Amino acid sequence: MAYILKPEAEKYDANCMPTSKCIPQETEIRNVRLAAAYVPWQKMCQLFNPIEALKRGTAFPELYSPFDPPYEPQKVYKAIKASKCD
Amino acid sequence: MKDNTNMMELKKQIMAVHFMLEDLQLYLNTHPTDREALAKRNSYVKQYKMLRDEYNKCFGMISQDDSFSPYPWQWIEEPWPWEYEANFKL
Repeated sequence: MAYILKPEAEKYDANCMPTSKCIPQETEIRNVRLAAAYVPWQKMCQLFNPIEALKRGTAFPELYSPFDPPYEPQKVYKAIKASKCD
Repeated sequence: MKDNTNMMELKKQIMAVHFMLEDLQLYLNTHPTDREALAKRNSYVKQYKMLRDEYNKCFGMISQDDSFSPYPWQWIEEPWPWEYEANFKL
């Protein structure tokens, strides 16, 4: 038997803050095996309204997880162009 | 000329409700005994049918498969899916 417990500091981030009540933060896994991945069991909580769901690509707020680009593509493009001068 | 704004608004609603159905059905495939999710899914089915009926009544065929057509065949009167007029902004 094994427990997966998220560290306190990682429990709340910008994305899961409003829905953290809906995401099981502590999960018991029986007969745990090595080299196997385990996914927390989803429990339906609230839903987006249909238009919002279509926009975000999921009906479930706790599954909404957009990738914020860590850089501005324009800046990178300009940097690459500038570096090619010589 | 059809009322294009209302038509696109209704089409948007239909697609959005259809997306809710898809996502709830995926959830139900792994959670078949979740009564609340099932109830929500069934209520969206009802909404979906109502919206499609309304579209068929007011704006013509929403799909080839389950919309009646008066004479002559109406499907080719709709803009094709890749045409600008057939699409909406979210």
